[in-house]
Amino acid sequence: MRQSFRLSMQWLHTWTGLVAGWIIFLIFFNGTAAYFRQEITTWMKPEITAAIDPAKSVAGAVVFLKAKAPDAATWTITVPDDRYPVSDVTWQPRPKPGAPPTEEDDDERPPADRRATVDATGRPLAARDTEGGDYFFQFHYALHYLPQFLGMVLVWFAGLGLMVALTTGVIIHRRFFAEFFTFRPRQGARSWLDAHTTFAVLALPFHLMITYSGVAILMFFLMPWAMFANYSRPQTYFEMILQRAHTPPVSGHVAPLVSVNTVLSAAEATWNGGRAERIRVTNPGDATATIKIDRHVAGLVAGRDASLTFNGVTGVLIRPISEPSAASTASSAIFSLHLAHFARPALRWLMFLCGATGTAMVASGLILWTEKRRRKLLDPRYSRCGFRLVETLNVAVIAGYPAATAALFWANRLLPLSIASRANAEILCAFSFWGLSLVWSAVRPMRQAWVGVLGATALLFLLLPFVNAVTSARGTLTNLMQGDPLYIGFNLVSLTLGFMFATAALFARRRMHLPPPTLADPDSTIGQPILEGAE
Amino acid sequence: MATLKTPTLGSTRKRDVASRLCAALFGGYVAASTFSMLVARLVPLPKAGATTMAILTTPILYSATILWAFSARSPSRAWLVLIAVTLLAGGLTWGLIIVRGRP
Repeated sequence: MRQSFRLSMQWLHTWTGLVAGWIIFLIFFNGTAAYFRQEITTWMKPEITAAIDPAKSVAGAVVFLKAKAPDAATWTITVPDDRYPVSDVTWQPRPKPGAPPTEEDDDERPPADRRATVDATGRPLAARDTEGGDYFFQFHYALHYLPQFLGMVLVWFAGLGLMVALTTGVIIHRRFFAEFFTFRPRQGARSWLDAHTTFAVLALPFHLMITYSGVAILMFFLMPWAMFANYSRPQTYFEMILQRAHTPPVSGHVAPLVSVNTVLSAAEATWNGGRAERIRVTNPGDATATIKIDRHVAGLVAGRDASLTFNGVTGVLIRPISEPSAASTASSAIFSLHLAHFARPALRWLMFLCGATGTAMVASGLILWTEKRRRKLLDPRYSRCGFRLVETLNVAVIAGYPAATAALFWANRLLPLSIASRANAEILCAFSFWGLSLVWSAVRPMRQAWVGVLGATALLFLLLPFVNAVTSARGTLTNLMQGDPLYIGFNLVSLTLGFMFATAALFARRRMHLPPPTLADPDSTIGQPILEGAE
Repeated sequence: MATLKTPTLGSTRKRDVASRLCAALFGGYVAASTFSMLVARLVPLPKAGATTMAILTTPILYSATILWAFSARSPSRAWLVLIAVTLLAGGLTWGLIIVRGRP
């Protein structure tokens, strides 16, 4: 549509990047945080200090569930590991007689009266009510307050936009490695361009992998029409892929449940030392009871026998009717590649850094758009409204959203423990803070808005370790001296983010005093093909 | 592609971009979906495997159609090719379903 293929692709890169940019920034930021979903949950429940003892915790959880929900349809018990040291249990009531059997959706968070955190003696732990790291995970694919479907569609479109932006980005940058080693500081738009390319090229394989797998996962929900070529009923295909657990109707014959711990060790023996991650008991106390044990996926992308089902009365292993098909193995490999549950700490940190690079790539790209057009503001024919809108959203999203997450952590520590639906209140705090930064960036002059919001974000992150030390027993200096890797890591990340935002705020403040650009600005000679064609 | 006039700003250009955008989003969606159905029929794997394979190629197919919509010489050309792909892939898939059947 432009004079040449490359210029068309340049145009497409600029505009898809801009339109999808803010949502992609949120996806990248939250998704990167969600790599440490469990650790964040543990941090947000400082009451939990139990030592890890999987067998005792599972036994305790069974005692608790037997007393609390003896005639439930299902119990689920998470097996503690070094990322989350206690058991979370949930239970579901039996459906009314005659009602169709329920289909369990494991992604749904059950209401507060159907879940608990229990210790090894079977007593519920009085941990504060919080969504923890699940908030970041849910936000990164469904945008939290939006209806699930709408959020997923928006995320999907943004993801497609990112795929297009990455492809066109590779097409327009022919001198890949030369540009990677180029950085020209203090040259306005040109410096932002160099930064943008560096962040993009630095982790390009990661960006491609994470974008492709993310979009592909959503394809199963939003564009699975290929299945109609082979199946007249889509359910047949989905049942094959998802292997959702169905709860069979109860028989009415009472039969005691076999010891869950015996079944657990039998499963772990089958896996040759593999550990269990989750236990799911169906129809406990009935003759039809089954116990399904999911394997912990640490170090495993996709494998056989990822979950085993046992008879809940006799404890005998029920062999699956068929081996998992290549289809379900392939799709679960894509899922686990994206979710990275398999990653051990070193790899997890590497992926976290790659995610951070992606976040920086999106942010620098969005800023580049405004930096390249600032000169045009001097032309009276150029519309200021659009420019102002982009800059306002840039401040509110790039600087404001991180502030909102810091506010979430502050709220987690500072809100009184007794208030009703505390988990929602925490998130409301974060969003109010975000809204505030949006209003602030809309009413203040642009430079001051940048300085103000970046400064607030820096302050919130820099002070977070101290707020934590004052309000909880974990994370104080004495506690850290004893070696508490999770809290040391969290504090370090928080301080690093704080310093980064503080540097950015100082940078923006210095530029506040620079004279505004003129039409005869030397920047106006940026005449490289890369920068042309975008208007 | 190298020999065409620079589009002038204004209503022509706006209509051009709007048409390409619709071609990319809607035309691309339909064309990529239909083509993925053909892939699902043609991949030499068991049915479930072929279907998964086809769904996993849709992100690439869809972004390829988007790139096409914005790189074609004119919007009408973009539409024409997308419609041709849809009809061709759809026709072939339909024919294969009729001839070989599906459960």
